[in-house]
Amino acid sequence: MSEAARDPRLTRRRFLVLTSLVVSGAGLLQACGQQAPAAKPAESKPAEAAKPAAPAATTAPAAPAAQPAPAQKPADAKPAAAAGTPKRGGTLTALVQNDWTSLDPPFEIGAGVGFNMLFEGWVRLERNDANTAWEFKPALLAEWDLKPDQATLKLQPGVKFHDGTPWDAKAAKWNLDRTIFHPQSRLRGNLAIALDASQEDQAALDRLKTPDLDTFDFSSKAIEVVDDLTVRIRLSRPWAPLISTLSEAATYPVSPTAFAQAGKAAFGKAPVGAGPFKFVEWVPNTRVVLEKNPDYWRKGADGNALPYLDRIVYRLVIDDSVRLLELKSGSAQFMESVQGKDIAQVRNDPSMVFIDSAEQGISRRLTFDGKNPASPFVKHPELRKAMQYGIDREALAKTLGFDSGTPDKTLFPPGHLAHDPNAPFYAPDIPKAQQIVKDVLAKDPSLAVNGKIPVMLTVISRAVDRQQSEILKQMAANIGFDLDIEVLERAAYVAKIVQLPGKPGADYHISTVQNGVTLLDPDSSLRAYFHSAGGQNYPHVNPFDEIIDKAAGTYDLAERKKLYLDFMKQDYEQSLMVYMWFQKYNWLHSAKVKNFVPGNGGLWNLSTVWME
Amino acid sequence: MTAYLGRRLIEMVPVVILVTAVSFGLIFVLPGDPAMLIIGDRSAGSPELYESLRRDLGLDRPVYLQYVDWLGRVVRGDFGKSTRDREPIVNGLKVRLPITLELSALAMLLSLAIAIPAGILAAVRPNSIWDALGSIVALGGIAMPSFFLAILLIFLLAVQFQLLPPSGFERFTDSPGRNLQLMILPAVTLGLGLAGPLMRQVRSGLLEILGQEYITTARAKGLRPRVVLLGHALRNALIPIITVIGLQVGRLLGGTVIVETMFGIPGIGRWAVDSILLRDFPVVQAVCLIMAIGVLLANLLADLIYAVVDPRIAYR
Repeated sequence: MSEAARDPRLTRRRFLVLTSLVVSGAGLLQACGQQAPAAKPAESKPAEAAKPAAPAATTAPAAPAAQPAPAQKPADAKPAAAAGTPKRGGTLTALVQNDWTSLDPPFEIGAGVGFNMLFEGWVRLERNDANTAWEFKPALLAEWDLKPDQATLKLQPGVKFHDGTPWDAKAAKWNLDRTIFHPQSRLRGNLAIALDASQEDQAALDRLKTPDLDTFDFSSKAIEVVDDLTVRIRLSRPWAPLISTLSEAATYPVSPTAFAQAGKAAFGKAPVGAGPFKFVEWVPNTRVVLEKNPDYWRKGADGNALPYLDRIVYRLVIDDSVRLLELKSGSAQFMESVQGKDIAQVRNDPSMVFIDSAEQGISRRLTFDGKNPASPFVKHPELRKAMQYGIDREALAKTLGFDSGTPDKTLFPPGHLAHDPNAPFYAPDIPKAQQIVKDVLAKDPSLAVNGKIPVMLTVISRAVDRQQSEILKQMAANIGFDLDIEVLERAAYVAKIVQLPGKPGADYHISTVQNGVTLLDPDSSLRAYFHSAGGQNYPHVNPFDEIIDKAAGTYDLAERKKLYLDFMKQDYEQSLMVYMWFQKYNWLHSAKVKNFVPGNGGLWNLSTVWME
Repeated sequence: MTAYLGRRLIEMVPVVILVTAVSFGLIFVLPGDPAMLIIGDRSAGSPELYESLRRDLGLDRPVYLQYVDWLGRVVRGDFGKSTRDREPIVNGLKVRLPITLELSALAMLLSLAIAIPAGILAAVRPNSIWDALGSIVALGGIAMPSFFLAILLIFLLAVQFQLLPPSGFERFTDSPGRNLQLMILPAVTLGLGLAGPLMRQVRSGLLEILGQEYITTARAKGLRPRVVLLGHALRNALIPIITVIGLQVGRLLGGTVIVETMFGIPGIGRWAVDSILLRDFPVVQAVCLIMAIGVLLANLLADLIYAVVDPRIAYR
């Protein structure tokens, strides 16, 4: 080693070399920074993807006898671009956020992404051919007839499960029994509620409660096989949401033969359905791979069996930024839930297609405990209205939702069966809110501490809820409340907000919640949030049980709509929930992917998608 | 040596028991109830279901009984079942632990491959451009959070230059080439973080040794610079370097939690994150225990390597 090399002095040459290194480094960092340009104004480019052509032709089964379909035209129907002639073949890699817990529909507690491709549902909730409204379309059910005391279900003929066994009345009854009576079935409550279970064998039902039961051989009396292609469900009361429930992923039928051969645990890892794609492999925490079912019963635009794609690989990528980078790199072609901050960027990227939905998404709400005697909102219910008037929904939507947020008004956005433009809602009115608080303090000055009403806001430890709570604190301070924010991790939060009968603990003042908004029957969300039997009855009071049951118990669509409007009026008066802002569901795919149409509940309908 | 090893292993027992007690107890101190979490959203109106779930999960028994029961089973290699999917945890460990070990080994090898040459270069040419460059890399590795480094590397190497896949996982047994291709970015992310302190240690240790009289003597004897550096100086500087490597194992395992999540690698780090979010207590306890034992064993191994590197150290 030379002496010069060990010389610690900083020579001019070394200085120049070091300076050039620093400058190059800065240049590199700047180049990296250019990847994420500042959000352009919304009007710089039309937000919507091109309107699709009519949906791909399918074999058209007989029209359903009675169909409780949402008839309202949605405000902005905007499925993805459909273009050109379908091309067959290819593998589509789609990125998912959450792993699966089971691939057996009734037992999956996660999002169940891909289930609508692996399994065929009883019915499909899709847009009608004119693209004006959502409706229930035949799938494994060809027709249905709902009567006050029974539902008759006619099955789609000629359909087989992936193992070659037939879809018939025996398979349908076994699937209904499993969905309704298996103790771990997720939607059992939604179906059992109207079932006439008066003649069931209680001892046989008790045997189903055996932990880790691997078989299912229970046969109910309430569900009967009429003939090879007809089953009948005996009802204890009219039940309008039945068909809607049968469109949910947790009810998708599976092959009873394959289930019996594999057992519950093994079947959940390698399921057999009747969907457009067959199961290939599930590597937990990594991916699920499906391949084309050549015997699928629906036909494509070219007259041959759907689907167009050969394979779908659902890859698990948890991190939002990494998912987006995967799409940019071309190693994946499809994802959902682009973050608000990235939407402007992807909308301006010609190599991608961004789609969002004003009908489906996440509604961010503020909920009041309606029975906690320590809450000022229980002592003086009019204070709930002060909060309703005092929250600037527009500001929340813009600040937190970026391009994907819109102000929320009522429980049902446009496009829903129960949506009614005449439903009352609260528009921001700060002076009115301040006046209500002033009036209450004049009546009950003991409420105030330092001139403001102290309130505890309980929120879950989630980034958006924490940010939202800080903004709400400012807004509430403006009208006379002093919000103390209590951030809890999920389990503690659930314990505090969800009330189990006879269990202490659920005693908050106000809380922020997020609820998924889909196009299912209105009963599914009303029953969850406002009925005493609902798992998400955060207000802990039940003034709505009667009207909710009445609306679900009639098949008269006009009558139901009227009852739901009445409900919304009562909800407005009670003010137990503030509908703050709505975050639209969104999807992003490569421009090479064609004919993607968003399904209900954020389902990815990839059976009619092709790749160029 | 055998006696020393036996003594050290016995000394580890109370530490392991303490770790198990803390990891077990902490979870019970935290607010929230896993049974409530599992059924909370959909079946809040069913106290019977809630109680039966608590019974199934063993949550209705006193905490100390749950602990003793759990410890007894763990000693027999039974970590119980995941509350999430009812699968035996030991099956999950068999699948996931090798993945984390592979990632950790690659990251450690990479960090050594960066840190030792860079540290040597910086030590033999102090205050040179190489020293400055090494310091920048070292400080960058230490200062840059791994989640940011991960995004930066994905952006540069996967999106801009398309040299590597951005994320994903393939089993080594299924496709060794693809497995290594997918492991490069996570290993670099983890390895760069470890290389920084290691490189600083190599540099400072060597600088100190290079100033010793026996190095001057070796040079005066006419030994070639490479022999002096690698045979005399580096070997004597290795003891503190090995200590740092041993200590880095804890950081390495902690780092896998973030890196596995970012890159979609189904190792025990990501399993720990998923299980904490879902309050899958048995899995959290098992992963904590395995990681703690891993750190203890790594440090024991470091102690044993001292004797190999430096013959003056003899364990009795």
